[in-house]
Amino acid sequence: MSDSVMVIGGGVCGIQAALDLGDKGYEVYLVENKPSIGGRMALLDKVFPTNDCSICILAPKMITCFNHPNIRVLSYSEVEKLEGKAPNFRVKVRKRSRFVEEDKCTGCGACAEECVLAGRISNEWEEGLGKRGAAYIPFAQAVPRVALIDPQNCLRLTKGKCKSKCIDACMRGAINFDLKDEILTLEVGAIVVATGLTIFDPTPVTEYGYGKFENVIHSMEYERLINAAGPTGGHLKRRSDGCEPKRIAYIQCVGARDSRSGNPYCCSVCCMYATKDAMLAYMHHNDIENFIFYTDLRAFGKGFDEYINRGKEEYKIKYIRARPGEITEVPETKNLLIWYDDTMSGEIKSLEVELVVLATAFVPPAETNTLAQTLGIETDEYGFLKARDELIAPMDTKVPGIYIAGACRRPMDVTDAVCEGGAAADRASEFIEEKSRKVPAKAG
Amino acid sequence: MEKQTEKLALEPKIVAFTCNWCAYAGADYAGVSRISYPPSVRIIRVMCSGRVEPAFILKAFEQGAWGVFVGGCHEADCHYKTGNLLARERVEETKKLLDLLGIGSERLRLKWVNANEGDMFAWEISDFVQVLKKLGPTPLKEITISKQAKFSLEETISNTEAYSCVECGKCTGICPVARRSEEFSPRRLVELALERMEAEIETKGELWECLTCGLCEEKCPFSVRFSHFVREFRAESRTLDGEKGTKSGLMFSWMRIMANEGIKQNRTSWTEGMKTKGKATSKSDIMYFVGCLPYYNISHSAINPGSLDIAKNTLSILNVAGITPVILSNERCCGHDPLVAGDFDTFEKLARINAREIKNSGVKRIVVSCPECYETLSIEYPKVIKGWDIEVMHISELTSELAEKGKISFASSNDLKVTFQDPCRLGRIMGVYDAPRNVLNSIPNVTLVEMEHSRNDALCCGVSAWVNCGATSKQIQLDRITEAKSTGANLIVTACPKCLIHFRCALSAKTPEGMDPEFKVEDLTSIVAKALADSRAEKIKMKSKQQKENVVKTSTTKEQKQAQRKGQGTRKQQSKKKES
Repeated sequence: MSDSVMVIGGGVCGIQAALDLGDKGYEVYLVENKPSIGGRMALLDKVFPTNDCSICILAPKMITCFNHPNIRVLSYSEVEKLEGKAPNFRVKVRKRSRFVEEDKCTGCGACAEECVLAGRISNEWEEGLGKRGAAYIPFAQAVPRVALIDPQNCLRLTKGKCKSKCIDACMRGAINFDLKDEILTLEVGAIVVATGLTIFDPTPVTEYGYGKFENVIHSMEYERLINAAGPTGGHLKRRSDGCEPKRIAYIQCVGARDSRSGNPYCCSVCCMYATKDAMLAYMHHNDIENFIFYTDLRAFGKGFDEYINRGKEEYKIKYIRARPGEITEVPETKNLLIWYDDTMSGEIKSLEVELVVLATAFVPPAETNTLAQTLGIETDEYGFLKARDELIAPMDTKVPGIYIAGACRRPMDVTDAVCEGGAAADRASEFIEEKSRKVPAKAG
Repeated sequence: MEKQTEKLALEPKIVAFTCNWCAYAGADYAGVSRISYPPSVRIIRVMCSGRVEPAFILKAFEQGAWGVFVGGCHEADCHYKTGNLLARERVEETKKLLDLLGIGSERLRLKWVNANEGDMFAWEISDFVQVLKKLGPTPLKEITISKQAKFSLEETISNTEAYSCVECGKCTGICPVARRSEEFSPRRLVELALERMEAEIETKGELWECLTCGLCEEKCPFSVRFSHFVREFRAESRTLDGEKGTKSGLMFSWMRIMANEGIKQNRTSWTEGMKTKGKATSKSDIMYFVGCLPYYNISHSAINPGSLDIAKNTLSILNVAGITPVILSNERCCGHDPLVAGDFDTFEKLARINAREIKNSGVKRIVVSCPECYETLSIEYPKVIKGWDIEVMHISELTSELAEKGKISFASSNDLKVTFQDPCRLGRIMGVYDAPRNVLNSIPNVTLVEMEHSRNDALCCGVSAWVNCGATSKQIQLDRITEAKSTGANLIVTACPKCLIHFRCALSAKTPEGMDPEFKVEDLTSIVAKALADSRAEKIKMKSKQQKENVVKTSTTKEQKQAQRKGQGTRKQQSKKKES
């Protein structure tokens, strides 16, 4: 029997779970699919309802986690196979090759600068708004701060031919194109799954013109644009002309509460983050007019309603109760016309704005289903991971010893994700404690 | 007493529309001059014979008239200059409809009667009565509108999932009517239903403004089926005050007339006049359901509706592919329009007759050229006809399939840049978006460009089921034409006879958008038929060329074959180029 725990997913929820377990003295493997831990929260600018800098809160946790004596962070890795039963799980983890030796790399970024493809590949960490090379470091605060070479684009790895300037640039000789994927077999007593969420691609909602009109963006793109560490250095720039918009509309529930898109559920955080987004725009330039088109304002937490009221009063945000029917583009200016039925007055109106931000639904990442199958746990009708009992055992799954937490269960905000991370960590530690006890805790 | 009523029932009933200035005065003169004529005539005075619409005439027949008489001033005598000439045109048109319906044009008479021609009026009526006595009554039975409620409010709310509405207003924000007419709001109508204010909905004109184009339904995040909501409320509205909202009596009249078992239509004569092949049969696996096309060709003759062209082209496409379809002489309207207008009774009657006739002919598969027939036959018939399991497909789907299998090949002599109008029923309701596009893309020299609103975002042609046509409809049509023009295409291709009629109507209007002789609208079948004819001509040309060459030098057959192959190759390349 093993008393180590595996946490799958290195977002804020998984980090919290790993830290709690590590602090209790368990050996923890934190498996993250991406090259850096931090998840969604690492990419946000500010978080509601305090408008605190997101990365400023998260970065210390990320670093503590990485340096924790009991936690081993396996980034750029994925779970391939699960064998055995709790508390004797044997998990096969594929640690993908970065083509950079992790112990040698100092994260100086010289390879990224010298890569012949530098600035030519769409950067997924910037929602495609920024560019990177084939050799790159995901973002400034990445943990581990180790470069990697993207095998899909690297000329040497795809075509076998490249000047390979990165090799010369690296003063530590860390670049090694012969590195192979590693398969680790880890024995763990319990597993916490915290694989988080991804956002719904709004392209199929054709009436809003995402992908067709340059100045219609989604909220993650907005987060990167308004982020000082983002591709525009925090300047809100329109894709069409690089100008800063003076009138911005935020459209709520795009693909959410929408049975046509298959997501009839409420994402529960968009009303709040749209308000935050509008506040941020106003903080940048107080002559910006913000319009939020909402279906129902669901500001349900402590201090949330007050936050909305501050938005109305201090930041002059205009809330319009309507789900717009259609967005059309003004060809000359690339401004956008929002056609809507003002449900308060019953009038059909159109509003001209310079930028539209779509609050798209939160959906489970595509890999969730495969992972669920690998682990033998259930998913619900929307693809979120399913608890054994939503009411009284929300962290437990059908499989003893496997726990779920955070936005892989349902859409939620940072606070809830942190709470669930802690809760799932506790459930996992309790499980191992109970199994290691000679006498059962309670009879029968 | 009994004998007298029997006698009365056998006495012809004539409805006479007489103009105020001449014919009515003439009838009056006959009266004051004590000239006797049979008492079978009911006179309705109108200001001018030009006021008599074909709808009035059909309605009279529907209500039991044996014959209809229209009386007006002599030529050049009309008090409104040309009203009587218009009347003559309309009567001619209506006669054609009556022949088509099997009622017979001899039951409709037009006569110029002067104010002092009382004897003439009397003679005319006496003669008409003699003729009608020989003909006997029409086979029509008057249809009474049921006053029984069809759906309760609760049923409609649950049938259409209106209960899940959160009043977000997306429907109204995207509705083409709401954007152009302040009166209309789908959200408000659903809201009224949820507030249990059904009387508000049923008595308001708003209910009749909906195009049932399904755009709101397509976009509704909560899956409220608004066009069905409208249908069911229209049915309810009917039980209150008849046809309040349906302004187009003519089409609905002939549809109701078709719901009579006894009529014998002459609806298949168009197949005889076809230039090329026009083979049809009465027993086969596959049927071509023609629908109301022969009727529209007459009722909309003023704007060149092209309805029969669709029928002819569809039949010739089928024939070229080696299919000889059943075309039923006793086919009726599919019932789509009455259904959408809330006349569920007529729909059911039509459905029963059609289903029986189709089953009797042993058909297994139906081809339609009208998306409305497509919807009705494949979605609505199974709801009312037990065991209805016949496969239905649109001609665009069949053509696409035939072209893909290589059973038909296209050629085109001139370049065409076209845009495609997705008919609401074909696209949003039946989900057919690719088939017509595949067909267009497989015709050489045809370039397809898309409008801003295409596929499931497509805008309606502005009118639905003949329920409404006003300023809003016109505006929608003109806006759509402007959108089509902005693609650079000079032809709208559609795949629905109704879209074709409505756009042709808009293009015939005297507006800047309408007055463009270079811009046209055509049905997909006519483009396909032309491409088939071109391909045939090309083949014949090639053959004769080959024969000539064969005569000159018989030994080089190998080279010829190669040349032929090369020719095919380039054609394929062309179509590939276009696809990319």
